[in-house]
Amino acid sequence: MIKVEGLTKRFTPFQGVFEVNLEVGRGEVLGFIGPNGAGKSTTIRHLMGYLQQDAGRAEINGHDCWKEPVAAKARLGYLPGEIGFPQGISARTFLRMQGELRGHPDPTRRYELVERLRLRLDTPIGKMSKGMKQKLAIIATFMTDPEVVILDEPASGLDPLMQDELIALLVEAKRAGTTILLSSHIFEEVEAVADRISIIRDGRIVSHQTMDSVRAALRTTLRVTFTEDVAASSFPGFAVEQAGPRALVFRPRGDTGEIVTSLARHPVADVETERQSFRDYFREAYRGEAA
Amino acid sequence: MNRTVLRYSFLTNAPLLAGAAVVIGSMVLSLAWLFPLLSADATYTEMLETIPEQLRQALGVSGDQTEYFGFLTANYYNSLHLYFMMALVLLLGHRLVSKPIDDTSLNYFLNGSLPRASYLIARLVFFLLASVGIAVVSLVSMVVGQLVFDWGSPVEWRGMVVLNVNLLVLFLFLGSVVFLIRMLTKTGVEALAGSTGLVIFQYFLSMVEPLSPHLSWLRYLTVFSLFDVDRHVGNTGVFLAVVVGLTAASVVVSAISVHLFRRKDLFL
Repeated sequence: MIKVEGLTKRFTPFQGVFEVNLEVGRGEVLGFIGPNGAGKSTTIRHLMGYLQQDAGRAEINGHDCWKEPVAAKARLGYLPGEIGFPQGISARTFLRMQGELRGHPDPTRRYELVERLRLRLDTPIGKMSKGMKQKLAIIATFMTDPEVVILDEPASGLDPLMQDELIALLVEAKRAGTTILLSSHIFEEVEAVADRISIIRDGRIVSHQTMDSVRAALRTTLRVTFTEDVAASSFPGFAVEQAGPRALVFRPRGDTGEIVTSLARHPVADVETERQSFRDYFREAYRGEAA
Repeated sequence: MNRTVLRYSFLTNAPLLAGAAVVIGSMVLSLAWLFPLLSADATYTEMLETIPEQLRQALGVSGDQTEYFGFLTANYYNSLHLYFMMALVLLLGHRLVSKPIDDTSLNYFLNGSLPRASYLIARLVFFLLASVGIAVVSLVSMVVGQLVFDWGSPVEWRGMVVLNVNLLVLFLFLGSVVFLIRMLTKTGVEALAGSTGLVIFQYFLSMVEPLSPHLSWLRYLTVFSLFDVDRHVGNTGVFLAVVVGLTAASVVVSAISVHLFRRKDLFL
């Protein structure tokens, strides 16, 4: 499992991460979201043992990521945000080297993933397209059947088919009990696999929520069109806006049954329901308007 | 020390080292080929003697030009070879330690069970092996050159070994300093600028030192003053002291680099 407690790293008085707390239980997926520069990668670098914190603690499977980085990363798969590969070797050599370095020389799972993602192994990494490099990075992340996976914006730049493949891999890993920390800008990805989300803004965690509570918080609106002019004042006690002489927009606060009962007294031509998207919800959360 | 990192270092730096070996080997063999032609009469020696002694020493054109070993030392090892080696040490240092941090590929070495110290020690060991390899190529080229182009003259084994071991420990020390500078700087560009500046300045001091007796104190400020084949061939004690001293200094500087690397913030 992953645990971050009171993690603080100050680059300047206003830049860094401050008192960050996160916890991802065994077999759980945490969506870690926030705008660019919010502190997602800095937090992840602490988990990877790359940065020394000024205060607080980051641990994986009970091992301090800075003091015991080897033990902390023993069963870890990591997909970095910026993928820089060692140059001058082929994909085959790279993956074999990864297997050796991570104590997992058995190539079975590696070749399974290579076949699944249709990667040509003998191509030198330096001559690979961006898409091929992303496939290679995904294979390197999952090829050791890790217990804990950390992904730093894994789908940025992936084509839609590869995005689907990545989501499928994440869903499979989740079913297999893998602990996953998913930092992402792709809301579909978070929506598809996350159990909970944590939102970070300006280096501070501003919200922890379950996906169920996020779904419940998504606003629904009802746009009602009538066959004759109807004023919003005809519906006292409801949050309603006039959208035209014969159209009203209702913003239900809970159960929509009362609205439907009230509408029965008027000549309704059409009712359209619209649900706020995750994208809009997170956008508001980034701005500090929701969550 | 990690064997996978060592093997990867060989795979990715083999072309550079092969190129360096070819350049050094061909330079030595070219000069070996020229030696009998230039030493057939005194024209070349007389021409060199028109240059003032102090300037010759500054340029490294010193030694007995009438015999093979002195000819190579004066015309190659005291000058061109030093330039090649300075460039090679800076380039290797950049490739082995700076580039993986700057392009974030270091992430693929440290994302699992490999301790930072093991990674850097493997890179340092590769640097040592590469330096030894270059010294062997240089020594073999000298011997082959003499056997082919100066057949019949006794091979100056002692001088050749002393020269190459002296160069080896000198550049091992400079290499360890290049590694250390990267540990002390934020970016590879800063490290390259710092390392290049330091190495060139050290060489500059060794060049200007012979120009005037008033500048002789500069020899204490440059490590290149420890490269003195004529003195070391004649004095085994001094030679061994230089070898042991530079090797120990390299080990200490490398150990400091490893310590700093273990504590360094990495933005991978």
